[in-house]
Amino acid sequence: MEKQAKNDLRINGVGSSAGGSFDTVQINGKGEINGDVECNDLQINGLSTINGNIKAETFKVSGKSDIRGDIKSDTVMIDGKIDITGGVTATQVENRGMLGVAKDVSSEAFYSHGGFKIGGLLNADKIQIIIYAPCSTTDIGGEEIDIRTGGASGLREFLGSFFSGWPLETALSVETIEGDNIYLENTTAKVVRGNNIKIGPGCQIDVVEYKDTFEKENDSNIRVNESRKI
Amino acid sequence: METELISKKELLELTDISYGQLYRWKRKMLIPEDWFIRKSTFTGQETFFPREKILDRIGKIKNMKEGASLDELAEILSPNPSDLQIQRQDLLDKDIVSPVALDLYEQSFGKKTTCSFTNVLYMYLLDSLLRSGEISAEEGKIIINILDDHFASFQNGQCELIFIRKLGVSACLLSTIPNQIVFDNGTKIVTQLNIADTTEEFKTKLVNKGVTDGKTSEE
Repeated sequence: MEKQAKNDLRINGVGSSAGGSFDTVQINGKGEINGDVECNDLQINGLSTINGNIKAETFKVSGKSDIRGDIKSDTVMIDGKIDITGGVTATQVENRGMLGVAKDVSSEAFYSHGGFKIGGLLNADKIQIIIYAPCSTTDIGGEEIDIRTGGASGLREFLGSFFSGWPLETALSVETIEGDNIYLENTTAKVVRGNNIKIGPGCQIDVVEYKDTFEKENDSNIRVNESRKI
Repeated sequence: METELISKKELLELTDISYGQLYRWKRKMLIPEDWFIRKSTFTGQETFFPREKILDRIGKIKNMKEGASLDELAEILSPNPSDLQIQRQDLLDKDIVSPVALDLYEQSFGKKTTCSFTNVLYMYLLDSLLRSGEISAEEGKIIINILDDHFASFQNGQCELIFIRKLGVSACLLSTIPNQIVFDNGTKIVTQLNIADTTEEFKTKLVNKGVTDGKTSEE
């Protein structure tokens, strides 16, 4: 691809832009972008609203951001709170805050060490979720799916103090999970389907359908209504 | 029209692929979003697919997988026109379109040494219609003219070409899919062609003939 020298867009303080094509876009403070943004590097430190679609190589939010559009970026890193009215397409998503997506999330890898609310399908080869705040999505699909409870760290209370509106039970709720290898903790699901499934503490599952192996840990706090080999 | 469906479970078993692969192909858009049909069953939510289409598609993906990367596959299977440029000489040498179709096209649009993907796609469509014997050369011109004028206005190349004839007078129309068009009794539908499907077929043909990008000629 031919490399053209592109300008940067920087908002320090309060400002707004109509969007466009840039090299680096940085918002420090409070910024508003009305229009689609295409850039290599998009960084938001502070508060921002973007009314448009985003196409970037790296996208990093360390503050609060509202996106009214879709995000297409190689890496997506969330260290704050983001609400997206569209979907997310990425190679890698790392969430250490609160990720809100109205539609689907597709990525090669998805790591979450916080909370999320996804309105559609979470689709990734490798999904690793450590639950520190409420997580919910309609469906999860992929190859390796690993969902665990976060340790009793201060982070949970810390996040809780920010998101007072969210009920602070640290569980993940989902309708169906489908994957090749699945390990679950603290997950409430209607159906879990896969080749090798292992269910850990705190899970409430209606139906498990497995192809090769199914294992349930010895814990009184597990409910699996039905399991069948397919 | 009720199409026969296949459940995801049955599909995985039948084609011997894993959930991981299926979701990966979905992510790469090798399988169109609207083929995923969600239904409630007694075991909870399940996903179904149009049986014939999905089996055909998965067969294709598995066959081509050795030679091409997933991204290349996605490009082949997408109905979007590619930005390929093809040398005129290659069209004939590699037997992509017949000389008759090329000649007809050039009568309307003139001779070019390199042709864009969409130009060649029109020739290919024309060629397959001529070969089927359903239309005459004169009627072929109507078709390439309507394609040239209006095909670009359809998003993602999702459209259908309908060719009708009544009392010896022929006409051609393009329409979005899905659609429902009815004609009076005296009208004969000569041919009805899904262009997105033909595009895919055409791209597969290009790959098989070794036409990958503009530099197909050796010089």
